Amino acid sequence: MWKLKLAGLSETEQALIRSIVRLSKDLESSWQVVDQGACDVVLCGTHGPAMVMPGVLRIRVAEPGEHSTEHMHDVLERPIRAERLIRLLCQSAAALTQGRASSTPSSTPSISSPVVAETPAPRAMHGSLHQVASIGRWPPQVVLAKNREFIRLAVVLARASLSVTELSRLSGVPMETCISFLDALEERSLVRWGGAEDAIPPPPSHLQESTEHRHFGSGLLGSIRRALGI
Amino acid sequence: MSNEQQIRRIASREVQKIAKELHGVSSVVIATVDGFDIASIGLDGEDPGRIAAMASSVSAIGSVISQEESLGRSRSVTIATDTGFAYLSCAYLPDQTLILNVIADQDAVLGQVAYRCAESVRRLEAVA
Amino acid sequence: MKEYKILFSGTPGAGKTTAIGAVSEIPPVVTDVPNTDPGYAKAYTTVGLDYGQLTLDTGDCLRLFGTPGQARFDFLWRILGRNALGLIILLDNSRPNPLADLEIYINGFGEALRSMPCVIGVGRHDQGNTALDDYGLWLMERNMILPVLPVDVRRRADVVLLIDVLLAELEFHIRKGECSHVE
Ligand SMILES: Nc1nc2c(ncn2[C@@H]2O[C@H](COP(=O)(O)OP(=O)(O)O)[C@@H](O)[C@H]2O)c(=O)[nH]1
Ligand SMILES: [Mg+2]
Repeated sequence: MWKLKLAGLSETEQALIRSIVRLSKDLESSWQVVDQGACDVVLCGTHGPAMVMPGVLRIRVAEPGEHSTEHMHDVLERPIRAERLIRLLCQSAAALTQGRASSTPSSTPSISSPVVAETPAPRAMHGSLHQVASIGRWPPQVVLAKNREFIRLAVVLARASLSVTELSRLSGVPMETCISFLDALEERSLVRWGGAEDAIPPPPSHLQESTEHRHFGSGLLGSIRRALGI
Repeated sequence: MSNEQQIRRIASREVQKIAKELHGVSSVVIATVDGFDIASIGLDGEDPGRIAAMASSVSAIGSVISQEESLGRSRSVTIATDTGFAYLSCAYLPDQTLILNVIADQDAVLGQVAYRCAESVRRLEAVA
Repeated sequence: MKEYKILFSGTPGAGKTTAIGAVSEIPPVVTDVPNTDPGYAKAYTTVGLDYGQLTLDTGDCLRLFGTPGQARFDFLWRILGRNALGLIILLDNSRPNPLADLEIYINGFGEALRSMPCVIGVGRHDQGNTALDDYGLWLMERNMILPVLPVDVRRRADVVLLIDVLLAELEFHIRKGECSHVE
């Protein structure tokens, strides 16, 4: 059970947050709002504590635009929305789990650290990090919207069913972007979860020879990109 | 008779005559420069449309080579093979180019085919 | 010096010759001749091959080949496609039935598409009655997923994007290969 402390927030906001946590199916079993004692996450307003205990995460509640210098991930924008709060708390839980499991307990986990980027948003959480995603068609243009990273992800998913982690590794696209891509597909029911990772189709025959492969890896693609100015 | 009809008539007469007069010829096709056959005779049941398309590709590459090397217009291309040859010649008419394409086996004599094709090309080019 | 090639195929008039010219560092070699086919509103058409090239800073050479588009030239598609790094199929959305056009190339390249990286560029996508997403759905009905991107090949950036998609797929194969036999 994770403990959430509220600081520097109005009565109304406190009540709102308490009820979101109590009513949310995604949170009710794992989160508890506490008034005193140790906690895992502090949700604070403008007058909240500037410092928190090591190992405790801090999420700031801020007016829109006010948080320009901060990581978006550590900020809950006003007006407080349930989905956003739930998402932040899920990410925090994952960050805390990761942080505590890792061998450096002194380091404070941050929601926006790469570790947290591995946390799927609520939607993509249906498929966990290890579940395999696959697509049955090239995603519609509304999803791709000329976004190069999304196109890259679709290219890879078109060839193989992959877990989020593998997708990120094989595409070279950050985990976070992979998750928002899968979310966008999920929203339109265009992604299937489950099953085993595909046997990847063989690469084009002339790439199969291992020396060729090494040659390729060691710079052909880079040199073509440079020649094209990509 | 329109110019176009006249060209087609001469073309089909020439393919017939070449096939009859020369030994070892299996197909004769006259094609437009973009690969459509306008007259053909296939003695081995080959598809003249395919030969026409290939003839236009080969002759286009021949033209590119003669252009790049400043050798003037391309007149003919020979593809000599293990068991015969393909001989392509270009006919430059006033407002179009045609390709005369002869496929032959080892019974045919290249010099003879080339000589006979030049004659047909002259007749086609003479259509004013 | 090593040589690699990328192949451009697709509907006559969709812009293969234009696309190669947009990225080639040499004036492209073009085998265009006057078109006599009333099915395409085009004065000139490619019957041999288009050719452009890019010299890489490794000293290697990337060759860009364009095929003739018409199905009667499919013998050249296979010849030129052999050992290509990837295939770019260009279509013209303003044509009466661009999905039937797509079918010509899907059939023509056949099995090669299962392993060769391939991307479909749809030109004049603001014209015609076919939505861009229809291409993906049409392919899905045939159990295929290929990248489909709207392009205007007169813009170099669009041609570069098509090539970049091919590179992304190659990169995926390479990374996958690296993990299956770790060196
Ligand atoms: N308006 C418009 N014209 C285009 C577009 N894409 C290509 N074109 C034009 O279409 C023609 C294509 O010709 P070409 O490159 O010879 O086509 P190819 O037969 O595929 O080689 C060129 O004149 C291009 O400028 C497009 O998206 N919009
Ligand atoms: Mg062309």
